[in-house]
Amino acid sequence: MSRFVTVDIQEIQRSITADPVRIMWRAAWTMLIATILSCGTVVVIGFIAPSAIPANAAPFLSVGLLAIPPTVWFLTTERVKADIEVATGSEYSVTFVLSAIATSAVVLPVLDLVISPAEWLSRESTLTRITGFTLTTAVWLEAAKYLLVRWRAWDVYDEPFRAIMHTVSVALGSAAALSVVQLITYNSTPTAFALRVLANNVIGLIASLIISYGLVRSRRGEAGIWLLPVVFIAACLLTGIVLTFRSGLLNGQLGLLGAVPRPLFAFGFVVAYCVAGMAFVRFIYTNMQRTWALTKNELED
Amino acid sequence: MFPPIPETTSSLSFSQRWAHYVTLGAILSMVLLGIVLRETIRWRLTVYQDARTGIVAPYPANWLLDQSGADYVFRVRDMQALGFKTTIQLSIVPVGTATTERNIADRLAYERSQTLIDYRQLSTESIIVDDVSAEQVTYAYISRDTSPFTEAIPTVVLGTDIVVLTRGQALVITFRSEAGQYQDNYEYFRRFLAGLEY
Repeated sequence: MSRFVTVDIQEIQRSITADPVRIMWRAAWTMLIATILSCGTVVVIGFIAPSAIPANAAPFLSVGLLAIPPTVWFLTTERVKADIEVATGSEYSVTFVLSAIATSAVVLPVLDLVISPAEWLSRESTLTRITGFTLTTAVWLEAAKYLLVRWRAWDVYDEPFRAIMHTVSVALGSAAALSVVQLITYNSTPTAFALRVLANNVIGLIASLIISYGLVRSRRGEAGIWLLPVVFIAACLLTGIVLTFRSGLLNGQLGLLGAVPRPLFAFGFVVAYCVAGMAFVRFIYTNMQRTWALTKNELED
Repeated sequence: MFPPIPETTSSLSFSQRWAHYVTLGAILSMVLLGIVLRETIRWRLTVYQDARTGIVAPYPANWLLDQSGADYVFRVRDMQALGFKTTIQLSIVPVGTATTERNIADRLAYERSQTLIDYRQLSTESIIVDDVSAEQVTYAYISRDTSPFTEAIPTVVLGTDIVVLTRGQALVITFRSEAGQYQDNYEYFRRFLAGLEY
């Protein structure tokens, strides 16, 4: 073997371009854009003309909002799976359903009835709230999703595109359960519910994708003992930070200058987090694939 | 109903197995830390001290302290509670040499029946508080928000008065909470009594 390896970067780029993983990212972004547009429309209408949404149409609008992310995702992936010849599709739907069941049957009762972070965290300092949300809401939500994926889909996590499909499905299932329970429990306006749907889907998805990176590396035997737990803790911490700042933006405060567009602030914050978070996850996945391509190139030489 | 779980095609390596174990350990640790943090914040206490009366009392840190009342030394209320604000109140009543705890308790019951809506005395019993005999009266009444703008519904409130005679005066320690939350909130009162010095 030559000591100096000639690497064709453009060939590596072309191989990544044709990769099903790229197609999966496109599908995930399609789902996210549909969610952002639908929720954003309701938020803007609710801010500009609150009476424009009839009261008797609000429940149907809310159900429609929470159905958009999983519907768009599964429609998009069905089309994608035909392109990349995935053998079976039902396992992803089952992951979605199991995630929804685990969240609604285990996580939410524990958080609402036992831990109840809203009762004791709301008046604490920012640092305490970040710590509190990390050690309560974030860890319970992410642990349920991690355990489900670890139990059902561990073997397929050596293929990144399958990993992304399972990860997004499990995140959307959890978010759908959160949204349904919040719809039933709280008599929210469509604006408030739209913000919840967007936050549930985006925050859960980014955290799950970060953890999926650790799972993929671990499954492929490329990580030591510590990468997966560190990635899990980092994802929970990030969720705790985002929950704290989002609630701080959203909770009403009196302003001497008049009405403060807090729903718009919260919406903008979550959209910005979505863009930054997805860019980061895409970055680490692309780096991982480039490393594989380089390694494969070296081995072939 | 569900498709079968794919069979494991390869056994776990050492690092894969231990990565999973360490992650599980991290999850358990974080859950336990969350519980510890919750208990620490929920039961965090602030100490009230009054040199004039010699009273030292711990009360929940986030409760509102009020010393402006004419008929009490101080009271603390949980302003975050929905509906009726859980209250712990301490009053001092001067007494004569022949007055007993039961006399004070009966007088309080009479006064409360005049001022509280649908007042009902539930029980009266003699207890021991810090090796000192005391009289405990439990009662219920209806609390109604007088503001016409809030449209609040009436609330059933459970209350407990503990009367202790000390240094020629009666110490009346009052705890009131919405009936549905009484058992949950009673822990605040128990900790208050445990740390009370007079």
